[in-house]
Amino acid sequence: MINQKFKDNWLKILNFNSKVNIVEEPGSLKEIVRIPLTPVEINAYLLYHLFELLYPRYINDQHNILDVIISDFDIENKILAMYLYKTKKAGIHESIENLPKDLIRIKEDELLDIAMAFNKIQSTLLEKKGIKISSIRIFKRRAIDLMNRLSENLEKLTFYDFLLNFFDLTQKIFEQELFFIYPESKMISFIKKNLQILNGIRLSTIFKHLNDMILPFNTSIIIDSKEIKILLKLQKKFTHNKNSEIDFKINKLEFLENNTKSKNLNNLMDFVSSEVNSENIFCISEVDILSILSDLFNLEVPFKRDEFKLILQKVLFGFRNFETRWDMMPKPKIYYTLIRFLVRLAGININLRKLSYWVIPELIFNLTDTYLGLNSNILLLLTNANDSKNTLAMLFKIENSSIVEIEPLNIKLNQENSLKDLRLNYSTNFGYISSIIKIDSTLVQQLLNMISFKFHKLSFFSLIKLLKLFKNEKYFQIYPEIPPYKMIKKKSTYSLMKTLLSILIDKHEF
Amino acid sequence: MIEQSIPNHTEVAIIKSTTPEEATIEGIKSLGGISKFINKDEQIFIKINLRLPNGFPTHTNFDLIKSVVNLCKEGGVKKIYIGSFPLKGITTQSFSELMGVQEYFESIGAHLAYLDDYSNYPYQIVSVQDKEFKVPQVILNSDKLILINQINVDPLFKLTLSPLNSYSIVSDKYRKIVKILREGKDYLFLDQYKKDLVSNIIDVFSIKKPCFSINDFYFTLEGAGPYIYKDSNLVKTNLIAMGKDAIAVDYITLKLMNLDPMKNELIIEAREKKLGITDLSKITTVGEKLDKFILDIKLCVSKLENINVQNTSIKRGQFCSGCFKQAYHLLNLMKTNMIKDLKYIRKQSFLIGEKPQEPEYLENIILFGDCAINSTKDRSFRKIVIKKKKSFLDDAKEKLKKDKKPVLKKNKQKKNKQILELPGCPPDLNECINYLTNYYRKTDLPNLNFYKNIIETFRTEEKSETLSKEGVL
Repeated sequence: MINQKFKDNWLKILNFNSKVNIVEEPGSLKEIVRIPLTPVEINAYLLYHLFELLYPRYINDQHNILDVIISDFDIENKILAMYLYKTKKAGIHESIENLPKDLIRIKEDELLDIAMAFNKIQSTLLEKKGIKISSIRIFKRRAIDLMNRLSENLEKLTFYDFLLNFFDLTQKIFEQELFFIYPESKMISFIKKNLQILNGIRLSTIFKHLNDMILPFNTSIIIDSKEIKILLKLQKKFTHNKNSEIDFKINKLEFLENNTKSKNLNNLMDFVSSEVNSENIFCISEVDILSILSDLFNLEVPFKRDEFKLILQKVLFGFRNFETRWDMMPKPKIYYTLIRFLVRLAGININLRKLSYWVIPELIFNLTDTYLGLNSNILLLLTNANDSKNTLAMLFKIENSSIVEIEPLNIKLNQENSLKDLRLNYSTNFGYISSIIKIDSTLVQQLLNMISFKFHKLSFFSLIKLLKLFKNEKYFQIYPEIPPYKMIKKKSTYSLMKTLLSILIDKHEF
Repeated sequence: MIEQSIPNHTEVAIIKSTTPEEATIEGIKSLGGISKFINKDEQIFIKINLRLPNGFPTHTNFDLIKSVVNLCKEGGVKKIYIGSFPLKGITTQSFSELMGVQEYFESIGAHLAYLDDYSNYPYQIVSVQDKEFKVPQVILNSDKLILINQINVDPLFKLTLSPLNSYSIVSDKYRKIVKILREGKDYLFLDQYKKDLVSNIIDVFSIKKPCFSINDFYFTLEGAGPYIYKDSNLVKTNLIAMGKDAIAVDYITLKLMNLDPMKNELIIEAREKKLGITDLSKITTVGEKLDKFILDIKLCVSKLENINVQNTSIKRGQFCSGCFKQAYHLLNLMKTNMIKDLKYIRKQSFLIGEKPQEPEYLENIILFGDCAINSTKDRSFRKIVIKKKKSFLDDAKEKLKKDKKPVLKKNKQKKNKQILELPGCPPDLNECINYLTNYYRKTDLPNLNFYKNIIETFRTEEKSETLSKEGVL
């Protein structure tokens, strides 16, 4: 029933996990496994560490898990197989027991109510096997088929294609209700609810568009923690066929040198830069990443304005703490004191260490609430100046300043249909469209690269360039022109930058 | 003017539905269909809320307007006009450009009436009691008037009821309440401003009787309103009320919101002037039952201190509703658009009303309104005492000549320049923003300057004499 390669890899992981508590120094074991359902090879102990870290935090922090595979087409909800994982540590799967299908007698209808089914299965297992399970994962047969199909093709797929397939698989599994977990964790519920809002928009399509907009990069990310330092290597390059390809590697940093534990953040980046050939290196604390993820998964979906504001504030606070909470090599030009001093002479104060993290989310929400409305329909067009056919159109339905639904639209832009006409046409079918926002991929590309993999190149001039693009109708248009955008267009780039920076950056240096 | 005779009985539909448009269609159907209210070949004027060029719910729901227009078209009407006077300083032209409403109304088969465009929409003088109002002829000459009210919370009248919507069929000039002191009557104690305002609102309401009124509280703004502020929250009630008698519809709306209609000044005044039915026994509700719902919405604060503006201490004396309303909007505006500024300013005292309490701080004292300015002319905070610093030399001399009595130096008093007076009865909000930006340093007001730049985009640059004369600018 389960793909052999997947099964072999999974058993190898279980086997390794079972050894961890016996071996004196499990970190020194050199076993390599694959991350389940991916082509990514990883040190088995690092995978153990990730499971130990993430599973209890985001999925279930109790012991013993039962996997149930049920039919979906022929006979509804018939149990096909059951696998019991007895766990000594939450999230660490180290043994598997194939339970007889008839061990638990459960009516087909009972599986429709997962809470009831869980209670019944739990009490039966306790009675017959003397084991109490804390979580149940139910896979419909079709989910297994889809996972098998992906596993079969893993070797043939490039990492980029794998990601597209993986996004499709995840979306299908949740949308078609092929997988259930009980108790449902906040992370799973977060994913499910967000997919509902996406309303059929393929994650793979969004990823494809994003990938098209990101320039080739070669980045290393160090995830710093007291226990294990993780090195992620991400590279995007173009192949001979001009297709983009992504390379992803994950490793323990100790693999490169044994004494890295003693190194501080700066030395660590120096060391990594000498070992790996990367354009830039980011260093982020594991604790901060986990904290942001926890906050994110705890958010109510659709996002409530005040909760979302807090998360944004937290992210911006982290961002402003350059060289303390995160670091990067080469150091971005914008942080050099001399450069800042010269820019300051021109009357511009760009000190990202003084970013007004407490004001920016308030400002954004106040502006959108006031000028777009607490309830609104906003049509977003993501265009490509070089390819008019390649337009991504989405209608955002907003209720009490939360996005409640995103509707994909098939719009082919040409020179004849102005935004005014589009707005009127689509208002007929989808209700009053308060605004149409047209953004060209050039602008998004500039913005995305500036805040991500090309952050080290961020300078006063690149910000000026971005603002100029924003003011140019070819790259950004909003119809009807709401007052804030009208004001932005009216002001000179220099004056606009001064006005915006006075809000975005704190006045006091100390 | 509405004839002062009211029918014995009226129907009000309370409809709960999945969308506001469906609720409107269902409601009109349950009241006998649109043909019960309008006739073929008539000209209809739909009065909506067009307060500020901001998003919903500052204005009426445009999808709901579309439903009403479609029903009117089905009823065979000749022409449909939609319009309202926006707030002071904003023309319908700039409103339309910023919101793109003209083309939208045309696409649904109606016309946006530029009520402030005197040349295309001339006015007619209408006398009500001893007052004169200039009302656009397009409203007076229309066969029927339909009111569509977006119900939000209001600082003076709890909710934005139909007389408040109807009030903007005249320009700001005719809405302005002039302070008239009456002999033997205390203006502040009796809150004469509110009495005059209520009387004026109801007088304007009486100019043209609406044939149909819809109170849309399917989505309603609670907390702070009727504009969108930081404390505003949108509540979904899924309900709409409508009927032939606008006052009866308001009465039912207030009842649904768990408010006593007979404590609402607008309803009382309308009752006295016999402009609508305010007797529950004479109102039949169709659709949902009245006692089925109790909507508990959070009303506007009744005390200015409860707005909780950061670093701002509010001290009050006795003030009228005019000052209360303007101060309410100014403080909410500060809270929404001066987040960073309030942190930079650190401390400010906001004094309002006649003989206000002493300010908490001696710096940045804002005196709001003529009453606060005039009644504090001789207050101690107007002057600051500068203590003379003793020089080391004087100190040493004193110690050397111990036998001599020390000469007492008088402390100097100086005019406290850290006082900002916002004159007016009540003060004008736009002027207040100008005064604030002039008083504080530019570097202390990054948010407010940004906001000012934005509002300048919809304040008309055209210095039209006619517009000024008619009270639009």
